[in-house]
Amino acid sequence: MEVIYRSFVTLMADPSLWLVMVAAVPMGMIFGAVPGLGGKLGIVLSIPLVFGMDMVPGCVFLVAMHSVVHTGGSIPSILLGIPGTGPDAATVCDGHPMARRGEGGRALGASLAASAVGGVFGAVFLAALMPIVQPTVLAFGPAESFFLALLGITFIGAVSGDDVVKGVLVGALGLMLSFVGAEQQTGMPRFSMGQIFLWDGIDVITAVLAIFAIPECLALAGNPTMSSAVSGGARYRLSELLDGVADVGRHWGLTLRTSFIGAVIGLIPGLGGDVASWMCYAHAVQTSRTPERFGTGAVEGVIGPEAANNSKEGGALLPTLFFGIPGSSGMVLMLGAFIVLGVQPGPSMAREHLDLVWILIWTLVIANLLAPIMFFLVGRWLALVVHLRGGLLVPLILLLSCMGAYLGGGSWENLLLLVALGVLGCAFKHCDWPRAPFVIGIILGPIMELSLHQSLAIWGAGFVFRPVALSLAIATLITVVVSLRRARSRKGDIGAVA
Amino acid sequence: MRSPDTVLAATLLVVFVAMVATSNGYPPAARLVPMLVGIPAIVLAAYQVWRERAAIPCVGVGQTTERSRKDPIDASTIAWFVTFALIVLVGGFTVGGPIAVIVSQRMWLKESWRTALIGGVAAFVLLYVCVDRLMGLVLFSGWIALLMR
Repeated sequence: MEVIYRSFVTLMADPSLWLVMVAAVPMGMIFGAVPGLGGKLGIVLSIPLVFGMDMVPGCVFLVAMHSVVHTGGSIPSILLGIPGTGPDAATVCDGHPMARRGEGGRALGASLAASAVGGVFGAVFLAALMPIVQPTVLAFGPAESFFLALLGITFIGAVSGDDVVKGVLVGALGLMLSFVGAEQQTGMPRFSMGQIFLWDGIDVITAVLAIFAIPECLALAGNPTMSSAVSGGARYRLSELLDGVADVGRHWGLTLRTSFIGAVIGLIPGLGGDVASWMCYAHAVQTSRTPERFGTGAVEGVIGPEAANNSKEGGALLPTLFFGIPGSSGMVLMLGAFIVLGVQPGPSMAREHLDLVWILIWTLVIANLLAPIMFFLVGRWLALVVHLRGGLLVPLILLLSCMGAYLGGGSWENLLLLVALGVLGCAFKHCDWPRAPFVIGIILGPIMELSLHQSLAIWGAGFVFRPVALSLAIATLITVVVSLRRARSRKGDIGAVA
Repeated sequence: MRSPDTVLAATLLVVFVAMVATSNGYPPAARLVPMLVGIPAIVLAAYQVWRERAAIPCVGVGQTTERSRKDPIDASTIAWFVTFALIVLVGGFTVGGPIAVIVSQRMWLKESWRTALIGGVAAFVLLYVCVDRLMGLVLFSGWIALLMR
């Protein structure tokens, strides 16, 4: 109880943390609101900004920014009919028809309030699971860490999309590149090709920027000028917004149920925001007495997906922080950003950084409450952001990426690495190969290798039979089998359609 | 005919083979995990190359091997990205960065001179004022500055 109170006081009493949150929340909303940017690019581009920050403000910035991306993403979904991010697509179904018939303000109000309730619910959900998670992770040693890393690597299959083979190949490339540099046991430099800057290994920031930010940024260069589908869509009255907020109160049962579903989905690695929002949209339709209204502008069709979008972030933080298993591709990048800030997600979080975990839970709560307040204050201007041409931002994003790569690695050769891996990232994007497995590989590779060597040194090959390690090994096998069966059934579906 | 997927899979195959061959010369502790990952990856990459090549002849008359691609990134876009990074490397961040922004806004993205110059000024403010002066981070000064020292 004391740590909960202490972390709350730390967050509330430190003006610099407030400043960080006040800066991060509008940034997150803007990343969500500009179609084509999104939360993943937001995290990647924030890495150079948090570079040099202390661990706590840096983590608070990232979590505050990422937790409200979908709050901002609902703005173009409602006003333009263009989802700002993938999981906001479900909001378009009813949010945009509402805007077309002149109820854009009400839809925005409902979306903001549902997002806030969902976000706070996600944080409460995470807090409620803490008493169960804490003793579990404290029992972890190197053998368990090895199988946990292996389990995380098998989730490559879950984030691989339609083709598991491609995902596994990209993940294997990430793993192999994670072995570049001095080996942790012998100190022998591996795959460094005589380059001293590679002795420390491939910099995670450079790799993440190259594989994610560069391809997205270059694709944005070809993005045509956005134009508003709803003329005067950015104009609405405060009373309309408040009417939307009241709608969430009228449908409180739906809001709480979809928040819970979203948080549970966030907890399960590999499902992600799209599943959460569409599942909750479907739940809203199924539980409605008048399902025929959906698709024509029913406010419940906005409330369901928006509550789920934000609540899933609380659920997704749990496997990311305590097990080092990212729940989604966004959390993969968050994992990388945490490492940059000196936080090593995994069982050690419960031992060394419990204060930080509780600060992040409180950050989730405060950021989700700040977002609607800020929208009420500057909403008219924020709504104009949706008209910003993505192409205008391309050179600045490229410059930030170059700066991030240089600051991350501390040598100019990292810019050459950024170019080389960036071209590879573009090839992956061009060919529709999944890119998240690469980051999982490059992050979990060193953890897996070190814990394997430690386990072999302590227990020999018998480390496999330690009870928790064995159950994790079984879980790993089950995950592989489920991934393969899912891939086979997808292939079957495609064959049937053809 | 080679599809981009085949080229990509073949590239990964070459990378995995080279890395496994290189790791063969390391001490046992250093080569254990790279071998454990690399050898199955070689098999999988070879299978992927075979799969991609086998898929090409299945295309019927009037069909195309090209799938619908989202956000196509063509060779000129890649060339502009490389040029952008080279300008930053040659001129450094505070000088080369704004120049790279102006050049790419004007010549690549075909924006007006006004927009390009505003972008350049924004980049200078970000790099020199915010990063260099306010945050105190030391940025790369460029190859030219390195040669002149």
